[in-house]
Amino acid sequence: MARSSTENMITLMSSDGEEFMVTEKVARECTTIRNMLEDDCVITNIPLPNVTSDILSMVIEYCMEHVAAAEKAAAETAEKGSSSAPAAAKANKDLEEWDKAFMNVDVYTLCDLILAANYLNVSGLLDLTIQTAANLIKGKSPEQIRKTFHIQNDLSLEEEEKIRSQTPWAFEKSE
Amino acid sequence: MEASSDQPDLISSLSDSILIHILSFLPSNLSGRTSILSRRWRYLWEHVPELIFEHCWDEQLLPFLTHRKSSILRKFHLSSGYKDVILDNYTIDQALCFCATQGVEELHLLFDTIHHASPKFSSYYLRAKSLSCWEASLRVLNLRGCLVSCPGRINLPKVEELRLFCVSTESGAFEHIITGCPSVESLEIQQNCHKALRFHHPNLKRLVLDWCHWDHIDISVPKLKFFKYDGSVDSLKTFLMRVYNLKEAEIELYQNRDCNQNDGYVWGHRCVFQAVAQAEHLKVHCGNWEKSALYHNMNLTFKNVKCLALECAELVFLLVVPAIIRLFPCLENFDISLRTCLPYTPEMHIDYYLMSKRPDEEKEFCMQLKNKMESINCLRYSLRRIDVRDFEARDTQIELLKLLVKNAIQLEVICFTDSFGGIARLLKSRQILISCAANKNIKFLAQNISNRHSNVSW
Repeated sequence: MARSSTENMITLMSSDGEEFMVTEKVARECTTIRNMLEDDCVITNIPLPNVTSDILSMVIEYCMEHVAAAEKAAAETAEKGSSSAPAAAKANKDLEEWDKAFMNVDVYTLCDLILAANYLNVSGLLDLTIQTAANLIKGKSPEQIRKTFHIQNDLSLEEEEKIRSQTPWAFEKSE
Repeated sequence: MEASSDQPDLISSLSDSILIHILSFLPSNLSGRTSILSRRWRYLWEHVPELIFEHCWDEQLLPFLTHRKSSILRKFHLSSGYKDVILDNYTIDQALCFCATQGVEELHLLFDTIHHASPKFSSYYLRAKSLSCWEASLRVLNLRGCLVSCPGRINLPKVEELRLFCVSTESGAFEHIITGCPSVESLEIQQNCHKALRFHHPNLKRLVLDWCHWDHIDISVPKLKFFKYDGSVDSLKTFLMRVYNLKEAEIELYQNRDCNQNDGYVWGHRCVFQAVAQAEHLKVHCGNWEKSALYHNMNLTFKNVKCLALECAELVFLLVVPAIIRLFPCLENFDISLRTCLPYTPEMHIDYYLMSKRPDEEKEFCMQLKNKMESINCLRYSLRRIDVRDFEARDTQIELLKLLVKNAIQLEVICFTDSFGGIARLLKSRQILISCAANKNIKFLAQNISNRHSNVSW
């Protein structure tokens, strides 16, 4: 996390008391924090009682990667005066690959990340995690979905039958 | 039932809005299926603001709509593949009527076009009248494989994105749809049965003509920033495009196999290129370079183009590249793909131009080439970066780069992307290029080198 000393550093504190020093730029990726900073610009220590340290460190990792990618793209544009479309496409592809690898987590971590992304309002991470969760539902039978997410079925057999008969189109012809 | 109780059900504890957000990424029959997971999930799917039906049929669609309880509907997507039973017109009309009352912003009606060929199926017949009730809310209109009839006026003042793929209309109606959406900024047209495209649109910023084979194009689009033309120019008789702010263009041209009118081909080529000459970024893919207007001297110059991306489908780059970059006096960034995806075996074709000549001829050819290179403006004054894609370190490829490196006085960077030759050959090529760069300090970059040694860095 070595950055030039001219940048403002912000300390984020997780629910379990761990402190994370990040640059203001990285912290601003979280809209919730950005709003706090804009309301009160001298704030340097932000407690985040809803986010545990392991999840917070992942969110920071995501924000740092995306800030770095954006900075790199901006630097290249500034250097050459105009951006080269193929280079930009390549950088996007790299970032997508990174995102994909980043989403290689178990369902619990995924749910925690969704909650954190929602609370901190990191729109890119929220879209990414939600899409990942939707992909886990796709192509699965209800039983498989329950198994994947450890969902407890509290419907009785009769109730299940009733739902099936009310919305038969949803259960016909699996893809 | 089987889920063991010691593992907590974390996903069900997420808020309604998050779960609905997740469901909105699923086709509607799949989100409907989640109603059976547990009590928590029982009614969630009914609140998803997007309806997405892929491969569905009548018995699915209407019960779903009548069953819906939520009143917010943002997007309606209906598509069918060629294997599906096509929906009948009445059902789709009903569905559209229903959606129109809910303030839908995005409408996607995508039907497979194979139905057109078979008399067994009839295409969906979209009436202008059914579109008029969407007037107040619609922002995105995406139609594929529909018949559109518009005897009346179409007025969709809020539509920003319009896609018309394989849409057939009565003559003139096509233009009515386009001009009936005055706020459209992005327009994509694909594979159209009409011969002529004529319209004036004051606000259009992005225009994509895909799979096209028009006879007449006459358009006036003063605010256009991006233009893509992908198709044949064999039958092109008129090409008029009035643009004043064009920044970026992509041109992909091919020739119909059964067409022998080569003159017409080159002429059509020239029309298209002339229309985009004012752009700053130009991307060109061309199936037949020897018949291209860029290759023949046809009084084309591209004074504004700073970035040129070229795909040489035929392995004649030693002939083609010098002839083409001559037309770009202010080129700063040259991106060339040397892909060899040809029906011929690479060996047979790759050194075709050099091998087909006798040694003395070859010498003469190289001399001519050298002289040609020295007089190219962009090499002397502006070219700073070359991006080489699909480099295989073959002789002709190295020969071309040597010529460029030798003559490009301002060159700063050469970047190899997606090379196939392996790092060892790439390093060797770099050595060759450094030796002919003389005193220039050129930065070499490499990205995505596919081979066993992909981790070796320069």
